[in-house]
Amino acid sequence: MMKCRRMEKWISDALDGELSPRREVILERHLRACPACRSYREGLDRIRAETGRWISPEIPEPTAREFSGILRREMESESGAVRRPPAWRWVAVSASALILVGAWLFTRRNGYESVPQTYSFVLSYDEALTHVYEEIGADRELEEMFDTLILASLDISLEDEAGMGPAPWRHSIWGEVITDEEWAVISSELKKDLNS
Amino acid sequence: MEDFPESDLVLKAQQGDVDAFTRLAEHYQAKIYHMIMRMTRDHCDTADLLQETFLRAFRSLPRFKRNSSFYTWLYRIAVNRTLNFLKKTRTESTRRRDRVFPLTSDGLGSRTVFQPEKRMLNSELKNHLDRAIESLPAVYRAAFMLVEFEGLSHKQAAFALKCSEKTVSWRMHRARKRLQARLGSFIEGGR
Repeated sequence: MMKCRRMEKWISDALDGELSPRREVILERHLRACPACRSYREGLDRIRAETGRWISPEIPEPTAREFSGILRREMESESGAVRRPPAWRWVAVSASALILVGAWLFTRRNGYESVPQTYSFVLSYDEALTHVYEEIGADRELEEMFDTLILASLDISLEDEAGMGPAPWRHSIWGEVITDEEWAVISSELKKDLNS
Repeated sequence: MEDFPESDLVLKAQQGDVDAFTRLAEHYQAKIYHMIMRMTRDHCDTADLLQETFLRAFRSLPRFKRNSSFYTWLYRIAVNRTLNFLKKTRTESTRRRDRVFPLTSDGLGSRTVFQPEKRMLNSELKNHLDRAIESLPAVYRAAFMLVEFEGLSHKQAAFALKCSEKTVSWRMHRARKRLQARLGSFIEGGR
């Protein structure tokens, strides 16, 4: 059953052309032996076939015509305006950066290798998430909260686990909220702290 | 496309040239509209988000480092504005169904893997699938739309959604599980 749950994930990856050749072989072997997983894949094929027939929405001519004029007026009215980030952003950014740095230093100091072998399955991204989603079960709200609040954060540490990756302040997650000037101040302060 | 002087226009726009940015906007507006409309399926919301996207791009242009193409960068802004919008409105029960653009059609599709013997062309399936996709959490729906409809790879979708490829992969899997669960009786094989 656990194997089938993993295979369902692989079926999804295979549909998107994202499954490695080695796993594809394992999946195909499993599908030959497992009617339930075959049936699951057929269901997904059917969904794909149906969505493939949906029409593409085109921009209506009046919207396209008016768009440039409205955009130009807005841009001209905004040009030259000086924008300063609100104070709360500094507080939020500093707090988040401190947490990230703490986590980064912790992983640097301890490393994943020091974890006992017995628990190594917990640190396998896919296995761990399969377990988590099993625990979450049918609780849609909890699932969405986990996915939105935690899964995205897990990426940051796990994606770079190989060489501990770039410094935390270099992660693209900050790109949307921090300006270049803010970057410069935060990174220089954090570098000073780390070097001292 | 080759004749379109994107690099020059981006450079001029970065120096505050409104005309140059307007040309860029006109060039990409249809593509961006198409992508946003796929996600919101409401023309009014899409028109607002289109405007927001380009204004945001205009404001952020000085910080555009050219590490990606201008379109990819624009696309990313559009996806994130739309995603934020969808998160805010996901519980909004007052969205009227008659405003929602019907994405389903009996017209010919672009994919050729469809097997006639497995067809379930009844409108019930279309309507249920339509509703099932609309009921997906915003983050799942965004991933599903980008990969399934826009044809993006997990890597490209990850860039647009500002997350990792693994997260895209998991979101696609979770989205499909939910669709299967919702459509169980309409598609054989739903678990």
